[in-house]
Amino acid sequence: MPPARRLAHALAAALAAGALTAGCDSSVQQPTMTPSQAVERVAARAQEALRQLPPGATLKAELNQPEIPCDNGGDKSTFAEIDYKIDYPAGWPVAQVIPTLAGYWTKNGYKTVTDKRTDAKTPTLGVEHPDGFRISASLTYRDNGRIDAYLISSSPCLQ
Amino acid sequence: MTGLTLQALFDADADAVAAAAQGWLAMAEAVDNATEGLIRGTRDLAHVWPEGAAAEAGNAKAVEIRAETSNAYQPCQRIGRALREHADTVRHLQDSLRQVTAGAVAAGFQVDITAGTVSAPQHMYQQTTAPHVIAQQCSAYMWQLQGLLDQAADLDGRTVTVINANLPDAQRGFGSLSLPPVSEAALRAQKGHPPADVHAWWDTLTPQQQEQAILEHPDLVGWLDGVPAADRDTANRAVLDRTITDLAGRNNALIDRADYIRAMADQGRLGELYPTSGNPLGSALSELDRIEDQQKGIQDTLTGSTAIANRINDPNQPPALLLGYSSADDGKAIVSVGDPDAADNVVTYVPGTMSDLPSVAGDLTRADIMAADGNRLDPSGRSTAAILWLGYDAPDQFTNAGSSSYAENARPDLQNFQSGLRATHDGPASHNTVIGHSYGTTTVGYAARDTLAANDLIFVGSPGVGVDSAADLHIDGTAGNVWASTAGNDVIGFTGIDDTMRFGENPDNPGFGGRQFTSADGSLNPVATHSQYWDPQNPSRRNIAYIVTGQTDRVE
Repeated sequence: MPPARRLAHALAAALAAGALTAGCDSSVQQPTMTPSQAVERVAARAQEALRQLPPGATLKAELNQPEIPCDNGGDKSTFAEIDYKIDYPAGWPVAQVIPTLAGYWTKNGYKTVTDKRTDAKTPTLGVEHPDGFRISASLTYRDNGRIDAYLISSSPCLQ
Repeated sequence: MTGLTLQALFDADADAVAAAAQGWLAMAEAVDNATEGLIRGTRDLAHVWPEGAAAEAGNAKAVEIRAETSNAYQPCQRIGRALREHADTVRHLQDSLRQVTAGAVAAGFQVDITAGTVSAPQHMYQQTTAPHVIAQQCSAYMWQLQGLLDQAADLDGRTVTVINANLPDAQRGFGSLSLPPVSEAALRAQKGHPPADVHAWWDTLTPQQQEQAILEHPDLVGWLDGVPAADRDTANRAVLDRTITDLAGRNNALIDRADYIRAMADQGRLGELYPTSGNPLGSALSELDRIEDQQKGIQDTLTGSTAIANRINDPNQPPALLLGYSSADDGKAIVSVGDPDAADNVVTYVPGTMSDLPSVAGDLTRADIMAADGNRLDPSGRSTAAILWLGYDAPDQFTNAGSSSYAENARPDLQNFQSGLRATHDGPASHNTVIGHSYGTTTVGYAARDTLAANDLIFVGSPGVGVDSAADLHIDGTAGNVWASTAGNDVIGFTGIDDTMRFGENPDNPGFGGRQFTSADGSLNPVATHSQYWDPQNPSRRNIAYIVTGQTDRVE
């Protein structure tokens, strides 16, 4: 079979398989909420994480994508992602962000997806809530001595 | 610098000259910016104040001021560049002077910088059976030192000439004569020239000429590789705004026409609308179908165009520049998140099958994601810009994705674009990466088979890149700068036989000779997995960011 036709057949079969298995992404069913509801929950999860940290810090969105296509050219499902930088005052215990949130997330049923806590330059801990929404906390130890902290919150693909 | 001596060369303060150069170049940039503002702020004056003696005088003065301000730019820039070259060359000559002097002293000779002489102590002549050789060596050192002095004198003369030629006239200043406008033919003639040459040509234009070219020929300036990103952005925004207005107008006209047809139908007057038709109702239905098709086409183009406009005009998002825009056929768009002419790292993202203007929003978010990841994950604090390059006609559907023609046709455009990034970048060269996804990897590979101005290449979800070995890709790097990853469940992995894909060896195969990095296996939906490389917490995102920011030792 010519390679071009093999490619088309494989993709057509996979698309059919995709249709049959749609909704089986990750460990949860794709939620049936609107994009704006997903964005609300994404933001709420980030605020919830911030509340576990010492007072004085605020969140500043550096990436705000409410409707990212899950599948180029396929179905029209989307997911949301917001990347926040944690703005904190001098003396704030930024190095405690990840350990504090690790404890909170473990206690509240989140499961670990990404564990790069031992990375010397950009340690990261990423988790997933039972509803499929994910959040990660990361630090960047800049060469100039500054430590930048981030929360990256996202939704699963929405039906 | 008359009566130039070695001592004077030795003592020359190159740093002071470099600082002066910086001052002149900064002034040139300020003049350029001020001229742009002046031109944009006054060019409508003749339209809003068209009549009367005062209007005439005001408009004439505006023309004169625009020209004189514009005419100040090139002289400032030439003086700045001449001083910069002067400082660099002086440093180089001083290094050479130190090396020659050290060499002579190490060989036992005596160097008098003040007197400008090289001599041998008496004992050197006495301790040799060939004293003439000692004399010849002395002469050789003197000859080298004189050569350095001659170069310094030449440099001096050239710099003085440039400064004198570019100082303003005591009476007329820089003059208020406008140079001839840039013609469409002149712009078209630049296409096909190496971007570095285009950049040099663009630099010879006054700010006024550049503004005129952007205003009158934005379609040409906006796509000309070698024109600085900021100027391309200005041109393309004009085309985008004009297109959106035009499309909205056409759509409204179609709506009006459809409403009119329905109104006439309601009134039983279709016969008046289609007087020569034997079936006015059929004619009306046919026309309504055509209108619906046309509206769909317009809506699709408007969707993508509006998505671009919303992104580049969003004050709550990182600044973005529009480096290319066309609504013709499936549409094309080149959008940079961040300024590639200023950023330390630049990644060009080439999307794959079914990428077109109507669906551009999704690919735009990937550029946003890569820029954010690069800036977040680089401890050095160097800046990253990410460019969506939909500068080619991608396959419309998977059944077309088996053809190499789309990649072949894209080759010169992608090559020129990447070369253009190098030509217009300010300061030290940026670290440039090109990343392809799916058929986009094939497009990148076909371009790199000849040559592609990139330090690193990244292939994700690739159906093959047109070669069977990374060594056959010609970039500003080696096979070790060619990276690939295919998710375990990616549908693209099922389209090959063993490691042979549609367009050659799988670049993710160790036998390809490049380097592999980790992506998440992906979901049970293989088609969805093909698009998950930019999903949150996918290791591919970190790895792509590490490659883009030159932290390849951290790639897993």
